[in-house]
Amino acid sequence: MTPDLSTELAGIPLRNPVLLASGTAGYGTEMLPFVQLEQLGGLVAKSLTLEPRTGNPPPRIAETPAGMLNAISLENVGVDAFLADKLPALPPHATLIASCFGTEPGLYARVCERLDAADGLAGIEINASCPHVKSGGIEFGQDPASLSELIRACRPATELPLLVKLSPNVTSIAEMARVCEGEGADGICLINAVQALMVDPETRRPVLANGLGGLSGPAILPIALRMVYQAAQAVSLPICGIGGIRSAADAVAFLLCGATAIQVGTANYANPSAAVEIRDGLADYCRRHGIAAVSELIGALRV
Amino acid sequence: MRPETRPGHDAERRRVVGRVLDSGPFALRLEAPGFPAHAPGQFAMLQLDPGLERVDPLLPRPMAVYRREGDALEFRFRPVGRGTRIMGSLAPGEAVAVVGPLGRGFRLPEGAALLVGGGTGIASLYELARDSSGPLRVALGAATQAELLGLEDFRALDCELSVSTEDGSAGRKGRVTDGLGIRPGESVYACGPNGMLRAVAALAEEARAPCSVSLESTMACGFGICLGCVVPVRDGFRYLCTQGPVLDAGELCWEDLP
Ligand SMILES: Cc1cc2nc3c(=O)[nH]c(=O)nc-3n(C[C@H](O)[C@H](O)[C@H](O)COP(=O)(O)OP(=O)(O)OC[C@H]3O[C@@H](n4cnc5c(N)ncnc54)[C@H](O)[C@@H]3O)c2cc1C
Ligand SMILES: Cc1cc2nc3c(=O)[nH]c(=O)nc-3n(C[C@H](O)[C@H](O)[C@H](O)COP(=O)(O)O)c2cc1C
Ligand code: FES
Repeated sequence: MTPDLSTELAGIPLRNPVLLASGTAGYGTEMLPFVQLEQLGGLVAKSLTLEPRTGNPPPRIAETPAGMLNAISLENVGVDAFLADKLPALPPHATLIASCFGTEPGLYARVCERLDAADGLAGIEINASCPHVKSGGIEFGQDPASLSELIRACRPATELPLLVKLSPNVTSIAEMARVCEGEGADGICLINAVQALMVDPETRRPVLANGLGGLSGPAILPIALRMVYQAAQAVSLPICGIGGIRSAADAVAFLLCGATAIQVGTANYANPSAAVEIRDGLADYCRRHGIAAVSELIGALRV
Repeated sequence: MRPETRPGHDAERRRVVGRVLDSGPFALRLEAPGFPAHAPGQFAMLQLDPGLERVDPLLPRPMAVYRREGDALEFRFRPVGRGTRIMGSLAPGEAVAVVGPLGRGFRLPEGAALLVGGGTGIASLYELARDSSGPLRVALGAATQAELLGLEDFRALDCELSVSTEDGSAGRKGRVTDGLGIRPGESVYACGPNGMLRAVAALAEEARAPCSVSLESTMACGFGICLGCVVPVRDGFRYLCTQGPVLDAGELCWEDLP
């Protein structure tokens, strides 16, 4: 029996629930030697801003126990170069989601407009949660009023399915999820990296040039699972689970907690073929447990 | 300068799960059939936990390909942390995933060349030395004799070899750059700690000799997806994994390097 791995996220039909997370798979082309994108659920490309953007000075990354810290600061080629050079280089049958970022809601909306006008995109993820880029001192994803203002600006800018990527650096993820639902988002993705700090005792300085960074990788998986579970209890929006996923077992845990699909992030660095292995592992899991369709697992946590 | 024509650009790259042939504190050999052909100065990312089970360390480690013979890939290193210690204590037959070949290597010298290697940087230079056809001088330096990686291999090459150690246990006592002169017409190639590279670059600039340096930085992916590996150059940053590790000494902002 071949289990049915297909699922649907915010109106986007997916071949399987395994996507590549924004910022951990480049613009997709870099992954082609290691994965056939059309065999995955999809790719969320690196977050795009209206203009090209340069990031922080080095060191930008550091390894941590079972994870890593990063402060890249959303370096990217800009939305126009993405549409002109990167998007056309991707396989035609791959499911592609663009991620957008701006320092104010109006700039996010203009990126959404450009993306909306392009061919070949299945949806837009708005990155409301970069843990080390601040606008006006607070990230959009940390304050319900700012988040609602952001979605209100972006929603009319596109007819594509609109996903909102949420920050874990909040007191109540349920409240943020409800804001997304109330403002007409089609789905939510969580979590982004957890705000964190590493210190070098020898130099008595932060390890990263930026000081603070975002923690990702297996170390944050239990935090992410908890937040996906709480968000799923709070809203009926479809959820894409992210955070520390490196195996099919991890992916199953997210589905059980209520995710419709998952994204693989830091594990792509450790093994650029990880997402394909996770997809194959999901099929094995379903076979082993006599499950005909992977969608049966969504929200099926026994509590 | 047309960096886009450097060896390694657009080259085929793959992830291959290899098997350990032998491993010791300074060297690892893997049987890695299917690993694509590489150019001198290119590197690979070594994942010591291919199934991502232990995640300690989580990230793969960048290592220069020291030498390839048939399907055997050889790496040379010094145990400086968890990754390199594990690399040096693997049992034959254990699985190690290699992603590569990565980065842009050295352009082979067209005339006379001077290669300067310091510490683990020596490992990046062996195949360049072996494949160079013009008059060749090689200067190798390390802290101690044990850290003169691959010295026996360099001795077997047709080159003018000078050796130094900081403790005097082999060759001249002192630093590899002490008394180093660049002869007219020589191109310079260097790999080693930043302090050494800075000194070599200054000598090359004084002698108006072309100078290629291979640098190191922290890397998470090795192939351009994390954007974590930048080094400062005159007009911004270069991604060391895809635009390096070999860069032109003249384009670097030496004052901003650690
Ligand atoms: C393109 C490229 C090619 C490389 N090729 C080689 C090679 O052929 N041989 C080789 O030995 N190394 C090479 N390196 C360096 C090597 O990747 C690092 O030494 C290695 O990642 C350290 O991993 P670890 O887990 O042992 O140390 P970690 O646990 O990551 O670090 C342990 C401690 O060692 C320090 N440290 C890290 N790197 C170095 C270093 N290079 N020298 C001294 N101290 C260090 C760290 O700051 C830390 O304090 C290369 C690096 C790059 C970017
Ligand atoms: C180096 C790096 C860069 C990232 N860049 C982005 C980005 O541009 N946009 C975004 O929405 N998330 C970005 N992320 C966050 C990831 O998409 C993901 O949400 C997070 O890393 C948690 O998942 P993981 O533990 O599987 O990596 C980045 C993460 C890392 C490690
Ligand atoms: S190491 Fe990831 S982009 Fe260079």
